[in-house]
Amino acid sequence: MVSTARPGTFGSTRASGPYAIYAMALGLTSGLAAVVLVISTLFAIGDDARDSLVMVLIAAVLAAHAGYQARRPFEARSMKPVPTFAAVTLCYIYLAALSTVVYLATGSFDRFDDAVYESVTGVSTSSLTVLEDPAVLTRGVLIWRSGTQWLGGLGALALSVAIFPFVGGSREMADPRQRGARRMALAPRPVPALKRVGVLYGVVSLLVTIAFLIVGMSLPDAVAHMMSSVSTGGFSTHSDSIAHFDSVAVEIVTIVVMAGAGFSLALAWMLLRGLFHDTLRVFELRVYALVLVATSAWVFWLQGRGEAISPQSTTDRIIDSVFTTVSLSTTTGHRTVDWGTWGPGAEMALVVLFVIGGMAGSVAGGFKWVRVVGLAQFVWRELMRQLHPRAVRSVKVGGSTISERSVDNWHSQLVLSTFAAGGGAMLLAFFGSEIIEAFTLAFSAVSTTGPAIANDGTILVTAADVSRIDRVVLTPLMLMGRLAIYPALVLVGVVWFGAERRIAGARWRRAGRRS
Amino acid sequence: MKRLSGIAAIAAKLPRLSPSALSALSALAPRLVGSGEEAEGLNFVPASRKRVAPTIHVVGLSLLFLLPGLAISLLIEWGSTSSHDEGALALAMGIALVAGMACWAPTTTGTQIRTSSVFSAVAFSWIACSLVGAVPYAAGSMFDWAHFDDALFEAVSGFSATGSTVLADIEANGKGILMWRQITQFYGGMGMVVLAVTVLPLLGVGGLALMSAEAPGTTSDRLAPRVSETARNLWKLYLGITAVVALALWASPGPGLYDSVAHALTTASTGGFSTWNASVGHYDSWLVETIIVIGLFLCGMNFTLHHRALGGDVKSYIRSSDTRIYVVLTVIAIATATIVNWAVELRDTTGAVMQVTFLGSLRDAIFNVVTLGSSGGFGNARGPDSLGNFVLWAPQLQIMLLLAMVVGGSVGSTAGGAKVFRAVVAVKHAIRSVRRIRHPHAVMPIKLGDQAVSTDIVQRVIGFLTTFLFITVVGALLVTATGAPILESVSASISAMSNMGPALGEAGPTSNFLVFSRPARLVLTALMMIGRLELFAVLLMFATPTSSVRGWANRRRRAKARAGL
Repeated sequence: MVSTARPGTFGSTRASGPYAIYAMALGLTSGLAAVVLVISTLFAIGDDARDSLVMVLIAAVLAAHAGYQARRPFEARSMKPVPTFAAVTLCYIYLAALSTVVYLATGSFDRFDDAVYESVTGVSTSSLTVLEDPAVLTRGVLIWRSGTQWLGGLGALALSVAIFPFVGGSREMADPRQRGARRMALAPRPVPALKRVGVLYGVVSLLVTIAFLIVGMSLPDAVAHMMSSVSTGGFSTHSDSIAHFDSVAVEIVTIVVMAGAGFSLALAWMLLRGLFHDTLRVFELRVYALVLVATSAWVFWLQGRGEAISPQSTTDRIIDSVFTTVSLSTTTGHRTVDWGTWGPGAEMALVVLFVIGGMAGSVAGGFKWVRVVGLAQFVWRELMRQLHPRAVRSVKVGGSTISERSVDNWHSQLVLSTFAAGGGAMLLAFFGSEIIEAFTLAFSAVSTTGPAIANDGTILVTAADVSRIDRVVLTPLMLMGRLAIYPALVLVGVVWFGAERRIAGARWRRAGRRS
Repeated sequence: MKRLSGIAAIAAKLPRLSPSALSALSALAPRLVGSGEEAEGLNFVPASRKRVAPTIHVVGLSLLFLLPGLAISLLIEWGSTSSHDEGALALAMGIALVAGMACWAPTTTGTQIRTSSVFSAVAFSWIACSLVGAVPYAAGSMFDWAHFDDALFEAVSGFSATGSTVLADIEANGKGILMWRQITQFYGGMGMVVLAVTVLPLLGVGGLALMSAEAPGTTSDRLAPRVSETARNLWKLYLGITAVVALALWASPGPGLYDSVAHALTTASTGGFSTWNASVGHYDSWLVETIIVIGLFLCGMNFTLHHRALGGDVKSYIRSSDTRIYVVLTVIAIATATIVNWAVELRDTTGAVMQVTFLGSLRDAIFNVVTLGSSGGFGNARGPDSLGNFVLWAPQLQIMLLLAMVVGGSVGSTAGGAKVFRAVVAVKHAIRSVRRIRHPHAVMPIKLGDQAVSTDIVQRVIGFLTTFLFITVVGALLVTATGAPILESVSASISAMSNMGPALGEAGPTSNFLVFSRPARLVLTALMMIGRLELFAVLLMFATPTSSVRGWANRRRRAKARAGL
């Protein structure tokens, strides 16, 4: 449906051109945000009239924007890396800004900086909220707050499953256009892949809501926790998170949902197509499952050895261990228990888990297990190369060869995220945090988890205990972490080089006029 | 006069040495420290009956090289009046002699050495030396035999030039034993295997591989056409630096001859053991600290450059971009530490506000940044509440110090850590991958100075750093599992891997590693060894034994099959 309007006139529907991708991406974001806002409004209607009015108005504006963009068809014939990444980053910033507007307009937050921080925490699916007790918010706003995480999770999925594999950069999965990789891919081209991501995410969300309802949550709680669980966000409507429900059934369902969120969407698609054997043969899956089981057992054991043995039954302790392990390893941040009393061994293991995060192609943040496995294979090859200097070997993860370029990028990702987190930790320490607190806060932000550990071993679960200036440091870290570093750096680069070119161009023109 | 009293005491006791022992020593000594040709002439077993077993041969040779150090310590212990652990040192000498001869005499390296043997030779030499080196501690009054793991910790901390200690009171020990502690670091700084290479007959490429498997750094440049010549030059340089530092310390007011030599040994090796509980802080002297700082800083540079400079090419320091970055980083870190400590309100262990002058801040910044940047690990704290105790510093500076620990000194120095070169290559590599998004097909070599680093070396650097990270994380996980707090565990793992010495928190420079439980200390012992041998040697140490055992099993199976037929 290509419009015939001449380019350059008002209402032009130019589909190509350098800014088309930005417009398309922002329009899509507006549309999705409008949907979530409408859902929030439905919950707000019986609760707070002002909230409902504000949300409906904002939703209408967003819907109009989305509708306007939808009229301009977009051909994704060539997704160039730089504009694509910049557009994704822009979407996240746009969404955070939008959420800030919602918070301020509904009067949920008095302070601008609190609203911004909470928005960024939401869209980056981190869980270190500024609210000590989320129940102070109205029902509609609570749903929107979890909704920002849902949107952030969707964006992250789209990025890792439908954008990175085609565009490059911080690729976790093989390019589906290559032979051999097609089987594992969601779709052979970006746009169908994006659509499939949306459909799968929506279906899973619906199923999870129903599951939560069945185990006895109220409808608002079910929707809010669904949104913050499938996206590995971790916001809750209660200050004591999942422990509030005090129900083993809720805990088990949450464990399953979170583990599923840390599971690769591409693999889920393979399962849906009935390729059970192929799925089970994926090496990363085996490693991830093994790590979850082993760490749960390890944490359970350490917890038993700790001084503060809780008076709970063994069953409760097993469930708590599994819940905490899964919650942190998928970078979610839901909690049933104060794991700060489990001793340094358990805490350290959990920190390492959340720094690594979930599987490639999942909504979880962190470094991803495929990269860990790949780098371990790379190290093994280096060892073998010491023994056999002339041998030619490739890096393989469970039978499939990883290109040298990917290994390069994975290592760079390791260095960049370590630098981002280390630099952040340095800044946090500069503003007065203790060392361990600074490091865990920074790493937790980069892996979009949320909770951190204070120097005395207790855990921080709300940003109320973190100073305002520290929150300013954490904000860009969370965004960078959610975007797997590269796109964020690309946007910085685009702005930088764009400004540079503008300045150079102006200088050139001025020089031309003078002569 | 006091300085000479120790020597006089030793001299007075000399005639009591049994004549047979003396003659045995004098018969062995010149041959062992002599040149390779002489060593070849020392044949206890006819060459035809020797087995080609380079690993065992090098292990034996390394053990024999411990004898002079043990002998010196024995003499000092004998001469001192305070304690009498001569028996323990003599026992260690006996073990080193018997085990060393048993390994060395009936074997030969052959004319070539396989790459896999290189790693096992180096790793097993270090393990053997550490075990024998721990004997004087366990047999003497320092630890019981039941605490052999502590003795081993101390010995490994020595040989790996780390400098962490599990001694609550260092000064309670005898002078000879303490000197042995310093000497182990001296051996470890340059390496027993490099020492062994000095007397090994020409090994071809394998000899250089042996050296570079042990020497810190990615490459070991040839200083001379022959490998043994290169090794000898390195050791001469090393001895020279030690002698200069010792003389300078002796000339300055404060340390006596014994202490000067003791601290010079651990300065040149960037080890950090001291004979005093308060380490260098004992002297509370600008001059002593400056001498040690200069010594440490020079030993954190590439020894090849020193060799060139002594040959007249002083500009080689400036030409080396590695050294330039090392110097710049050190200066930046010193400046930051000075200013921040001076500007920020610091509190001591009792919670009182510390009075920090600018010069005082500068002094402690210079000392601690250099000692941690070169993986020395001396302390200059005058008591736990002074600014020299860097666990009291502002938290951001402590993070910076952790970074300095990891980065360490230059390639080809005696310093530990990941090395400046590797850190720079890793950062440039990461930046390249971001630039590649914009220019996917561009060829962008990674440059250091104006030289491109080959892909092969880049990959090796990446492999090294990733392994370093993996092992450190696993180490920290194990140490925390024993119940140690996270800050101490992580910093101690980093400190052990980069052969630093002190860690943060409770395990700071005025404390010791007794804050960790015994299993945790065993983990740290392993980390120190892995870190000193730059990972690969330890990780690959079983390659040769495995293939030997497999070969032996195969031969046996074949023989059996033949017998069956």
